[in-house]
Amino acid sequence: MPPTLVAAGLAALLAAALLDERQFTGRALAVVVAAGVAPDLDALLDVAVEGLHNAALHNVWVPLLLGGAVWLDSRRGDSWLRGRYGADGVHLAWVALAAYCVAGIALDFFHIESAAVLWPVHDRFLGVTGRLVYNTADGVVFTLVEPSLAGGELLPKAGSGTVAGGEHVPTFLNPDEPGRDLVFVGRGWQLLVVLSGAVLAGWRLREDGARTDDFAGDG
Amino acid sequence: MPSTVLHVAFALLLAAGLLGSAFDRRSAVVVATATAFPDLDVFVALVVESAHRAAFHTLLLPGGVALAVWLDARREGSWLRDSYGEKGVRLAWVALVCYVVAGIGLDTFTALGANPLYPFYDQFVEIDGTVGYAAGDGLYQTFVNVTTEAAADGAGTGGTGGGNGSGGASTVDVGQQGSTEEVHVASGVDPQPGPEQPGVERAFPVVYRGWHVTLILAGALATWWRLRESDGAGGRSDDR
Repeated sequence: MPPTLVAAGLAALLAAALLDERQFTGRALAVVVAAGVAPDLDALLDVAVEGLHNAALHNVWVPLLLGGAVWLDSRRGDSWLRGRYGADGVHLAWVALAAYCVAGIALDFFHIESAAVLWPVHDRFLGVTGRLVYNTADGVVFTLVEPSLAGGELLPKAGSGTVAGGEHVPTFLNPDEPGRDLVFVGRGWQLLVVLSGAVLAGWRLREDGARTDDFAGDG
Repeated sequence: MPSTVLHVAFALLLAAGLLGSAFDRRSAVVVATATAFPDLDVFVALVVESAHRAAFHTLLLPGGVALAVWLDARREGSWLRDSYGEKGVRLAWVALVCYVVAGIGLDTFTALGANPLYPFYDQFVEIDGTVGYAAGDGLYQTFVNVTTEAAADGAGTGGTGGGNGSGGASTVDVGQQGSTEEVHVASGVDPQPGPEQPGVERAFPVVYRGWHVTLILAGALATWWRLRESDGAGGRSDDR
């Protein structure tokens, strides 16, 4: 899987992009980055039950349930979230959910090492990779999603094993081969994402902090 | 090879973060144009051999524009500020950052790289590697490889002697690929060095890897979210 540090970098980019100047505080940034790396915590569960990595928290049900809860709560007149953290708290919850889905799940789902995004309802590790290209020999070539409508597996190319079938995405804590290897940055583009996330978030914290100081009067 | 779509998506994600609530339709268009611009050097490559990822992927070009913006902005009767206000100056800086990070950077950090100092120092650089911790070996990184052997034959990047800084005894490999004489980055406009055969295959990519989808998703999400807020200014952010 793309390293957790990359998910943190992408989450920081999303936090800066989706939070207003007033909302972008160190605490809000910490919440969004935590949400972005939270799916990778299933690596801990994987130590207890092998196969849960990229499955237990990398599925659509966790964010759907949380999103449903936030939505229901924010509709109520005496919303707990709004009562406690204000309208900014509700906004922050949505941003954190976006980071969970995009930085946490999509990064692994659109990757060769795959995530079991429908587990446990549909037990199958899916890794969507491929191309969308126009070339003059073949016209539009689209190999990202190649559904098989004839029956059997819907996405035969993307699918690998199942959790029940013993498919396991190795982690530092539970490697498949001897020799633990904890990768912080796996490729060049990942370094760019991590660096831009760190620089952008740091710059925003400084800028927004300075701006808030200007208006320190209104608290 | 990152497509122009991917460059623009990454740029919009950065711009949304840099501009915050000042991000609107006009700034999205300016940033997208600035970021797509470097890829227009595919047309330069029709005239100057192998100029794609070199002619407009050089840092000298945004560097020159940055100097011009800086000189103009500190003048009393700044043209940029008089025409577009303080917002215009800020947008110019953001567009320049996106040009460098999303336009040039994304190419430099992926296969084949870019030519950041062209034409003064003609060398494609591809920054790629791994940083990690291996049990037993400790921390390791493969982004910068220093070889302290005089034997340059293993480098396989002939004519890149300019890359070493210390006395010629050691070679520093940060991913030098060679000059425009050796490296040709293919594009749909100029798929081969030299004149093309009739009927040559020309490819125009949109997505080449899974992670491209993730980044495009993130850029699209940031743009949609920001525009929704700037279009409906005054609307509650939690109304949906």
